[in-house]
Amino acid sequence: MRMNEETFLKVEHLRKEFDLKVSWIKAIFKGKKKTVKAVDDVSFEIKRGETLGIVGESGSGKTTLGRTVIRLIEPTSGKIIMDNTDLTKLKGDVLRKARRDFSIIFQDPMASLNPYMRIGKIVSHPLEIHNIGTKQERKEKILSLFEKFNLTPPEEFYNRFPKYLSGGQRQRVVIARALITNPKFIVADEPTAMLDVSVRSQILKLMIQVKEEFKLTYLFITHDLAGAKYICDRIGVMYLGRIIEIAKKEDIFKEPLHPYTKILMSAIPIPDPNTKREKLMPKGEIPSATNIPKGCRFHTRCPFAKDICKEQEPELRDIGGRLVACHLV
Amino acid sequence: MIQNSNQMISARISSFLKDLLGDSSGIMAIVGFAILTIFILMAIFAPLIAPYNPIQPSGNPLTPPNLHHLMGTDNMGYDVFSRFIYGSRMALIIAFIATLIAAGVGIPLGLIVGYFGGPLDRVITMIMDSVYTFPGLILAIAIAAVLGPGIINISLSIAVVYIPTYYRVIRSQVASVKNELYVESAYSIGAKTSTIIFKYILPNVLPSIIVVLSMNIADAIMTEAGLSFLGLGITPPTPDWGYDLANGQQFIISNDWWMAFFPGVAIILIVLGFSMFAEGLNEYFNPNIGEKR
Repeated sequence: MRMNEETFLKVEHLRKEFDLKVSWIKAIFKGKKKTVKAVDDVSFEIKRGETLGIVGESGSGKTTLGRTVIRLIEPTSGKIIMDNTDLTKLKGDVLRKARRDFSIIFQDPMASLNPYMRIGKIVSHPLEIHNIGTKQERKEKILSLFEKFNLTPPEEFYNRFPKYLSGGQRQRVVIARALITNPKFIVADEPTAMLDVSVRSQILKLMIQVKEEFKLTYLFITHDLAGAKYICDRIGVMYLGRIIEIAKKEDIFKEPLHPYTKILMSAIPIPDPNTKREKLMPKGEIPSATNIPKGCRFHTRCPFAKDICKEQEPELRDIGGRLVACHLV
Repeated sequence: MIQNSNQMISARISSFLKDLLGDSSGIMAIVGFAILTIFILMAIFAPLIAPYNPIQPSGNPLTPPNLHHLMGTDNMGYDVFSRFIYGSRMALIIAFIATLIAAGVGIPLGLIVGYFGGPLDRVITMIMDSVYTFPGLILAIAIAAVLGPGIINISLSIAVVYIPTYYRVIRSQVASVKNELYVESAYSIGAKTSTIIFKYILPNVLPSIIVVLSMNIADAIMTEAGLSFLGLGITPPTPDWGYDLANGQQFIISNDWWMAFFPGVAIILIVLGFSMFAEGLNEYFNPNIGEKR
C-alpha cells in the first residue's frame, strides 16, 4: 500500500526492569531483590512514515516502552535499531547529538515547559544545543512554525512565559519544540490525554498534518482507542509489559483476536443508544508487574482461559498477517 | 517549603509576626524594607551622620544621654550614638560576607548532590546533617576560637553554620525538580548536564533561596553580635554592637542603662527588619500563589 515499505525502527527483545526500592533491613532478611518488569521482551518494527499505536491500560508499560525506545530510560537489555544505527550502543555525547533525530511529546503540557523560560527560548533551545542556524534564522524558523501552529501573533507568543498559555497552546509549543530540529521519529506519549475534548482533535489533526510535512514516523502511545483509530496505521496492544497483539488498525478494530483486545474493543463507547452488544469484562485488576503470572500473563483475568494458558507462555504467532500471542486463536 | 527553617530564630520571629499581623504581609515587607534601608544608609554614610569619632573619647565617661551626646557616652568616654551608627557597618558587612560564603558553598553543593544523588549524596548529607545538629552559636564559637578575630575569620565561622541550611533547601528542591517533565524534556532534546542544571533546575529552585537568604542575613547578624558579645568577634575598640552590649551590661547595675540599651535596640531592630522583609518575600515567592499547574 505504502510507497516506501522500508523498516525505519526495529526494536528487538527490549526489556526494562526497575529494581524495587527495598530498605536494607528487608534486603538482608528477605534476600531476594524485587524487580518490576515494566517492559518484558518487546519486539516490533515501524516502517518509515508509519504510525504505530501502542494501547493498553494503566500499568501496562506503554509509557516506559516509549521512553526506553528513545533512551530516556536505559533499557535493561535488547536492541533498538533506528535508521540502521543501534541506539543502545550510543553513549554520552554521541547519544546527546543523535537526539536531534528523534524526540518526544509528553502527556502533560503543563509540566513539560520550563516555567522560567520564554516560549521562544524553549523552542529555540534544541537548535542552540545542536548548533543549527544563526540567531536570526532560528527566530525566523520559530516564528513561521508558530504561524503554522496557529500560535498567533507569533511575536507575542515568542516572548511569553508558559504560564500565560492554555493547555492546547502549550501542547502546540511542545510539538513545535519536538519538531524544530527536523527529527525523523517522534514518540507521542498520550499527547492528548490531559487536554479538553475540544482541543484533542485539534492536536491530533495537527500531528497528522506535520507528519506529512516533516515526513515523520510516530510511535503513538495512548489509552484512547478512538484517538488511536484516528491517527494510527497499525496498533499494538500491550498487557503487563508485553505486546500481545499487533496488527493493522482495520483488522484490530474489525476483528480483534486476542481476548484482551476483544475486551478493550468492547469498552469503546458507541454513540448510538440502540446498539446492543456483548459487554466483555476482565476479571479483577491488572496484576502487579513485580509478580507476573506464570503461563499466559492474561490467564488470571481471561474469560476463556484453558489449562494450557496457566502452564505455557504463548509466543507472538503470525495469524493471517497479524501477530497474536494467545493459545486459543 | 523550607525544611526545618523554624530552627532559625528569624523564622520564628517572622511566624510570630505573621500571627500578629495576619495577612497584611505586604505592609510587613514594606516596614521591614524601610528599617533595612535606614540601617544600610546609616552604614554607608556613617562618617557623615556620626557626630564624633567612635574610637576616640569625646566627652566625660558615663555621661547620660543629652543634647551633645544623644545616647550618652560609655565608660571610655566614646560617644554611644556614633558607635551605634558605625556598628551597623560591622554587622552588615560580616552578615553579608558570611551569607555570601554560606550561599556560595551551599547552593552549588546542593545543586550537584541533589542532581546526581547516589553515594555522594549519602556522604555529603551526613556531613551536612552533623554540622546542622550543632547549635549554631556554639559551632561558630568553636570555629571563631580556632580562626581568631578578623572580619573574614568571623564571617567564615558564621558561614559554616549556615551552609547546611542552603544545602538542605537546595538539595531537596533539586531532588523534586529534577523529576519534572521539563527537565526530562531538556534531556530529550540533547541538553548537556550543565545546561540542565543551570538553565532548567537552578531557576526553579532559586525562589526558595531568596527567602532563606534574607532570613540568613538576620541570623548572621545575631550570631555575629553573639560572638562579639562573648569576646570572639571584632577586636575592640572597633565599633560593634555585640561588644558594646557586653561592655555596657556591666554598668546596668549602676543605672548607666544607655550603654547596653542602644546597641541592644539596634540588634533587635535590624533583625526584625530582615525577618519582616523575609516574610514579605516568602509571601511573594510562594509558588502556590503564582500559577503552577
